[in-house]
Amino acid sequence: MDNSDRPLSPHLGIYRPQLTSLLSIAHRGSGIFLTLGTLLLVYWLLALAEGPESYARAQAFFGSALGRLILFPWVFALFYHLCNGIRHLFWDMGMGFEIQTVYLSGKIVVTAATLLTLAAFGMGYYMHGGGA
Amino acid sequence: MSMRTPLARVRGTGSAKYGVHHWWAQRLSAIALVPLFLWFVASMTAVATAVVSVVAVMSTAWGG
Repeated sequence: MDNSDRPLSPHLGIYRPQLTSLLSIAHRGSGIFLTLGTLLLVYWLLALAEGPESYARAQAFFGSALGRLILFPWVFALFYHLCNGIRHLFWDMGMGFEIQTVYLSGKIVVTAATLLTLAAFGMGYYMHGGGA
Repeated sequence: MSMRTPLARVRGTGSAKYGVHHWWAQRLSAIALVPLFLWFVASMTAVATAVVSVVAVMSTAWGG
């Protein structure tokens, strides 16, 4: 029997992207990105264990334009995953499922993650004396 | 009419009964990660900007 023209249940491609779905995907994405970033953390620790010269090389890499291009989104992913994780904890307690609340908490998470990232880098540059 | 398989009915047990433990372990580790994440970022920022020496951080249990 040919079933090919039977209706399909709606899937990802049929929905217009919404804040809720985008943040959900971003939570997965940031989690994967954070896991990949731990490889760099291991590299940093290995360089530290190897001695001053290799540590200086690692520090130079993380301080370079490419290093900062990786570090900035990584720190943002970390804060986003942290804030959205707290949002998930509320959901686990059955709280905040009303549609307005879901959108509001989503906007709060994005704002908080952005502010925390800027604060972390602002503090870093401030403590470093405003230079490279 | 029961929907359970004959084996489950014989054993008298439904699920593996690990669900609640797993749920709590996941929640508690997630909550514990909140302060740990903040500590991690703060200490890494301090090390990266040479406010404290990395040797000093690694020499103590507290990292600071």
